Amino acid sequence: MRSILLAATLVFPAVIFGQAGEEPKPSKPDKMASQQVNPVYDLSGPWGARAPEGNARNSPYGDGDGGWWNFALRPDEPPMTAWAQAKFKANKPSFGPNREENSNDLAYGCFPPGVPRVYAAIAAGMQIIEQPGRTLMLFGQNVRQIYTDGRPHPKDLHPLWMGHSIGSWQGDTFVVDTIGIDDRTWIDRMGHPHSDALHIVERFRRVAYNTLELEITVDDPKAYTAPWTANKVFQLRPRTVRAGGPSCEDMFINEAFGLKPMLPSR
Amino acid sequence: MTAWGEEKFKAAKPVFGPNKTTPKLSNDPVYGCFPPGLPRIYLHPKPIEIVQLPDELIMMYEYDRIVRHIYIDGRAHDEFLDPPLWMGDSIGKWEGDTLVIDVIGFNDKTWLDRAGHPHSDALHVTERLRRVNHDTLSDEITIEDPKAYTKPWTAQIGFQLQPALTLDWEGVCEQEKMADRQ
Repeated sequence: MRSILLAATLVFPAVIFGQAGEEPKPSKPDKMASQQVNPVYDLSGPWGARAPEGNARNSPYGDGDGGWWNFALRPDEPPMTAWAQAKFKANKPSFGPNREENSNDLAYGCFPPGVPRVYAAIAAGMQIIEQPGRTLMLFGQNVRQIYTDGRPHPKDLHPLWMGHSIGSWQGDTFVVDTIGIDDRTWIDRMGHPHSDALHIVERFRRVAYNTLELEITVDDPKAYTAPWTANKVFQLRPRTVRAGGPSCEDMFINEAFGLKPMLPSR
Repeated sequence: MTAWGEEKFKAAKPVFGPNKTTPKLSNDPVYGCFPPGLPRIYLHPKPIEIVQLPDELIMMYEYDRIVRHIYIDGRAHDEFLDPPLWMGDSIGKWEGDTLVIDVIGFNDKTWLDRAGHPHSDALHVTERLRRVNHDTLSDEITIEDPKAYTKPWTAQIGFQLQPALTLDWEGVCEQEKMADRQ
């Protein structure tokens, strides 16, 4: 037994360390709270989505499925092109007005949700980690890295499930520009499509110690007749909350290795 | 191995080691795209990025985009591990220059390695992680599982710093495994 694991040491899996001193420069959140400093340049920490209040809860989609904010980015229909309308009709989501029993949502095949879909759920939440040159966003198992070292998007970008992201501070707002998002992902859980031309701009602003506002601009001339925006508000979570939970496979893939035949096709 | 462990080991149909078979006939849980568990994840030749924060150390394995949080803020194990976890519940504590990671709360569905060695839900893994020099990380792993092994045993794994490597965590098990099995 011992020798089997010892033999494995020859494999020498590569490891990257975070470089020393990579923690965000500003003081720790706890310290900041006591000093009552508004930490505008520090977004780090665990954040959970806040549900809209009052009239903002109303939607032509009705109030089923936990409310529109549990499956859409905005309460009303974004302005789709004819191309997008056709795609939208072909999609079989399990949420929203077009919900169907036999969904073809790739999320049930445990594929990454893509951006901005990660925000289209009540349970949307993320852990933000700021490092020199890079900001990490952890959405459970999905790691997204946002380069802040001034590099541009690569020219020969191949599609990525979570896209290629670059970010910079503009005043008190962290602006993230994302392209190269795999067009097999949906914009939301109700099946709104996007093309390979999708361009997402996220504007993060920490308006209070506990509150992070996000404005998402969706620009995809092939799928939408005009750019449109969506807004989310996040609440700082106590750091003692544990990340994790059951794996996607636990929830959706049966134990007899019955992998759902959900290989995405191009 | 205990008799219980032997029996489970015989029932396993791994793709590696003395009892190996083909991926098609294998009952390796990893071929169902379930997380590989610990310490098995270290045996898959894919890089890992470690991010160290004041209260936790995060291991981001490129293998199937597993993200493991190791809490180093003094908290205890989660009393309510429900359901038991594929990667366990990890609590770390510095002992001198060594990060000692105590891991319990596993389900019994994973294997300890790619050769099909089993474990029970009583598995207790202790990792002693030490940065031997700037470029080298050593991990001494102790396996304690009285139901599956007659006594605790240890293994050693080494890691090399790869500063030039960029990870994108885009590996999707379902995509790769479906191709393998066809």
